[in-house]
Amino acid sequence: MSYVSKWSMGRYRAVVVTVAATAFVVALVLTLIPVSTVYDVTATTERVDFVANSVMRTIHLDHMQVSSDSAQIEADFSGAVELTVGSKVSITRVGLGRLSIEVTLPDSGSSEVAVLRGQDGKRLPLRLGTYAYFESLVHEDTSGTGGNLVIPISGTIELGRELGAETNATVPLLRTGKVTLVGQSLLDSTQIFEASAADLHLGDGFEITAPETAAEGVIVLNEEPALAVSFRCKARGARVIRPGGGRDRLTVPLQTRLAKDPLVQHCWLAFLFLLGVVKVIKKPELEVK
Amino acid sequence: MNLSRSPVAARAIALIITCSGAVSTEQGVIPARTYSEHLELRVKVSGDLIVGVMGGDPDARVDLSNVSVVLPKTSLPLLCMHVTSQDGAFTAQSEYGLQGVFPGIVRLQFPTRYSVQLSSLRARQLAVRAWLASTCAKDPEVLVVATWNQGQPLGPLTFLINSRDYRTSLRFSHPSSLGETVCEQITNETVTAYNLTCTISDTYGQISLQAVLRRIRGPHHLQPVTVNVTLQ
Repeated sequence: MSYVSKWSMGRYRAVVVTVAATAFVVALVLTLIPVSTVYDVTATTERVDFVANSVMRTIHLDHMQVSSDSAQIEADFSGAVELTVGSKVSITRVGLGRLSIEVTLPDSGSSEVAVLRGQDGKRLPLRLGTYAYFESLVHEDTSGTGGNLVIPISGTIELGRELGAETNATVPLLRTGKVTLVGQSLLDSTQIFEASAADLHLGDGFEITAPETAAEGVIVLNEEPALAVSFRCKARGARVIRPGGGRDRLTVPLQTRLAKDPLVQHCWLAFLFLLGVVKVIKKPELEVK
Repeated sequence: MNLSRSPVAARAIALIITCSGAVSTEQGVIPARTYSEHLELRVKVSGDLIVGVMGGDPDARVDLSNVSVVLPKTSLPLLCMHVTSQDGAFTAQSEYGLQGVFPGIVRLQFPTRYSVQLSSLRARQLAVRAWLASTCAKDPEVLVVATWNQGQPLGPLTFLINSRDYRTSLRFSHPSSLGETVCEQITNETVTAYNLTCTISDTYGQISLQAVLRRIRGPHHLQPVTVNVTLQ
């Protein structure tokens, strides 16, 4: 082999080594950075909290008593409740008990907690400071009626609540649920893969920690106890709060990304292929004629 | 004969009416079944409602060697102290004899074995509830203010409260003024032992303070809880 051809081989080898190193770095980065994940959540819970956003802020209710801090505003209200954007809404139904909805403004920036729009079309702004409370006048047991009560929800949603050293005998709890994590490939959002799943148990809480989109879902009251909840949210992290304060992070595990994300797999395959090519192209030895 | 002035006669007539089966419509309908009722004067709970009453900067790190209380003039022999971490992982109880101790800010020894774990906490994350008593087995009647940082001004009063599912506020009054503060939720932290902070920003140099904890959820009110705190 001539000196010139050996020099060319050396140059090719250097190029391949550079590309392989680049592929390694890209594969490593793609493997380690948190991937966008869709959290698909279904649960039966006695308490749901969400912050109302501009997408979905109207709730339709039937036969509710409306009160402020201590005063009754409406004895029997049926109609729509338009929530102020940013209001924190807490929906509770313990067992087969009555539905209650608590609305709190995060700050005093707005004087209206909500606007009631009755079936007669009349609008009644609730200028209550920061707090309103709705409680169903009837037990929402829909068995035998063929009906249900559906409350669409959108925003930042939390299920259950942290269980601590309680001072009340009755505590609204999350009963059961399942979170399915659907991974989305970084460069191609159409490439999705089921990453993992986690069960929610009695007394757990669940919250999205780094949302990328507003959660969209629905609360259903039917003949079953508590509230049936289903929602989806794209996020980079979520956590389950266990009774007593333990917190479990829910993210796509590394091994799952290696096993199921096509982009990560292709990057690592490209790196391994280039590594093989580097091995095949021998390192040239300088020979002087 | 005036029945209202003769209770014995009235009871005798009422007994005769009842035994004969006659029902006076003025007195209302008698229950058909055995009447039963139950009044729980003291609801049993798993956690304390008021976990701490503290002075000083709530966000300052705890100084375990400088826990102190504001001791008033008292004839009671004991100072009782409960210490609870916000996450519920740490609890401590201690009693201090007050014989020969002068009123004012009194430093207390806190001989914990877990100083490494506790020293990273903020003052509001390690609640102290201290009170004067003849025996610490009894519930607190008068609380005294505690602080983790002796030497710093007592500043605002922070009540650390364990009240969930209720909108909770603290009405307070001392001889010259009256006020109300809505308690704030502690967020993004573990809240096993307590979940609210209620802050009274200024006590205006008063000697004592009466605080009433109100818990409301719509039309449902829990019985208010009154707390007496001595400040000097």
